Amino acid sequence: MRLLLVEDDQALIQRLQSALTQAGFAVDVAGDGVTAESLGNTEPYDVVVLDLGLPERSGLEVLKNWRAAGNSVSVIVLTARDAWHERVDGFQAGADDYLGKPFYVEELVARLNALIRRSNSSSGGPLCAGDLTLDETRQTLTSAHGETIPLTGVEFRLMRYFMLHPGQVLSKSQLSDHVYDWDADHGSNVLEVYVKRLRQKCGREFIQTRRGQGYVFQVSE
Amino acid sequence: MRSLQARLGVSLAISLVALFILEWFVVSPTIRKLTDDYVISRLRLDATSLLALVTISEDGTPEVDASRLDPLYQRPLSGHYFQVITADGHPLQSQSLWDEAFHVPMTLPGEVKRAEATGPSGQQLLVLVSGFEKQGHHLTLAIAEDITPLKLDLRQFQNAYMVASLIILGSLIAIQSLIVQLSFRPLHRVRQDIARLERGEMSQIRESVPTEVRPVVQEMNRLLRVLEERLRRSRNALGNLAHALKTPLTLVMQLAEYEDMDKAPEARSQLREYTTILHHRLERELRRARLAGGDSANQRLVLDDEITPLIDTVRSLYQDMDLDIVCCMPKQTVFRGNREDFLELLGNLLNNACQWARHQIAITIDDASRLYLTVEDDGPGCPADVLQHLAKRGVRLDESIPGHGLGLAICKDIVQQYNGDIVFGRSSQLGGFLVEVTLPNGPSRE
Repeated sequence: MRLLLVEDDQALIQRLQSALTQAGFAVDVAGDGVTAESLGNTEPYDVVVLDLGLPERSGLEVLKNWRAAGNSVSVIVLTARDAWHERVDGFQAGADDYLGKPFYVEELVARLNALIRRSNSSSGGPLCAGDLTLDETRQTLTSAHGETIPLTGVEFRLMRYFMLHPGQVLSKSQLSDHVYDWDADHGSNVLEVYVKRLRQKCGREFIQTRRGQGYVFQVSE
Repeated sequence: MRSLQARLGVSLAISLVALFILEWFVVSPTIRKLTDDYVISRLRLDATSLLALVTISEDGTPEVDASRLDPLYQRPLSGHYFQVITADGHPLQSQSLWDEAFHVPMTLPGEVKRAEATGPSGQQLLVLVSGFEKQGHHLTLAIAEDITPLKLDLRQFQNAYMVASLIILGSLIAIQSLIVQLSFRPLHRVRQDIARLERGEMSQIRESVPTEVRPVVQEMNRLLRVLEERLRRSRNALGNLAHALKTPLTLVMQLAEYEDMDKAPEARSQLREYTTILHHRLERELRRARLAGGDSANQRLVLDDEITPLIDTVRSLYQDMDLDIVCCMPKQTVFRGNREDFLELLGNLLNNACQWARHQIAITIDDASRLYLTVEDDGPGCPADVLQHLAKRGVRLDESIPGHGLGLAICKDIVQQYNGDIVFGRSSQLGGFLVEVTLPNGPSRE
């Protein structure tokens, strides 16, 4: 899952970046409102963590501009300004969730996962597809036989993206857009290697190759 | 202090009445004197012509040539009379006197007197008495005219004049009070504006007022702007302070969650405890400082526009719960208070309800002279002993309900700021926790 972290406090950025990467997100960081707005408009993020008190352009304005431009990316507002009238204004500007500072990173991650699930219109509870169940906190895959398979960071991100979009043709560039952050080296053959490893772990039949188009995550009922 | 308008009106009316009384005392005798003077001047002419007709016999008895005498003096009780008196002879009387003499004061030759006397059949006479020397005799000639009809005319004139004066006086007083009212109308408008300001229907007093009061109005407007600006600035500063403090606090809170802390569980729990205390204290004091309170003027909140976004916000925050929030209130309910305070109050009450509710929350708002607000849920509610404890004055809510007291404590702060009441109880409708809030909802000055 590709995540844009918009925050201007360096210490908090460091802490959040490592925690969110650990939780399976490809994290890009924007330190001011103007950068955040243009990044959000050009990159296909799955979710944005948005601080409101930003230099150059306020977070609320960034959010309003995104919504006005038809950008419907899921946004969780993370702010010290959490009086109720500010929350109301935040949701009216188009936020999907609101978390006041100070907060526990665990709560942020839980809310992010719930938000992603909702925006992909899955129901609550653990992410399931066919016989497979993905444990988002432990980043493991449980097969039909109850076997628990550990996944590496990139494998987990890739698997989650597949499971959130079952039956859809996903191109290699689309996959790498959502799995890697901005700075990562994402050659297409690297992705092929990860797909191959996932097939080995969960079984060949789940991920099918469509020549010239990409991959489809297919669940046999 | 008495009303300027009444004072001005009364003093203007008094001065008008005084003016009219003075006029009456000047005009009335003047007219009297003018008529008398006119009669006297005629009598003087008559006296001169009469003197020419008078002859004095040897024994000193005056006689008059009746053939050349004006017939008025011969017709009985005609109103025109004369008497000629000499020192030693019989007095001569006009036939019109019908043998009734009137009193004539004696005069020296050359002396002229004016007198009033009562004539035949009670006629009021104006008498001109003159002293002459004729044929070596000293004679006094008194010539008189009945002025009863003239006096009657004068009285009629005076009556008419009195009535006209009273009418003019009345209408002048009316016109004056109208003028006074008109000139005080701008002040009245200022008063209305201030009342509307208190009700929150406008934010500034209109400055189209007379020059005399414009500085006062401008100063008031300036103070209003200063107050508003100060509230906005201090709220901004608090927002910045909150922002500056909460981000480092987040980082401190994360410290407790580091894996290194696994080795020191004691330190971890203490760190958690102290950061929580710090967080709650910070939160409560910041929010308390942000309250605008019920004193500031020019606040008016139409609740219809605020409730729905707030409920949507609460629903979004608790999306994973299947919440059914209903709000029952009259249309166009107005709260005369600050928007941020109201949202903070209801937001915290709803947040508290969401934490306890199974899936039903009911809001009731009623608007009488006070705003009546209840929030109830279908959760487990609050045990009776805790409720009793909450009812005590001065109980710190954030300490009395572990975990969920902060929001309610903030609510209590808000309600206190507005001189309202907050009561906790058990909902009879849904069976859970019930909070009842009553807030004053009129202009602060009754």
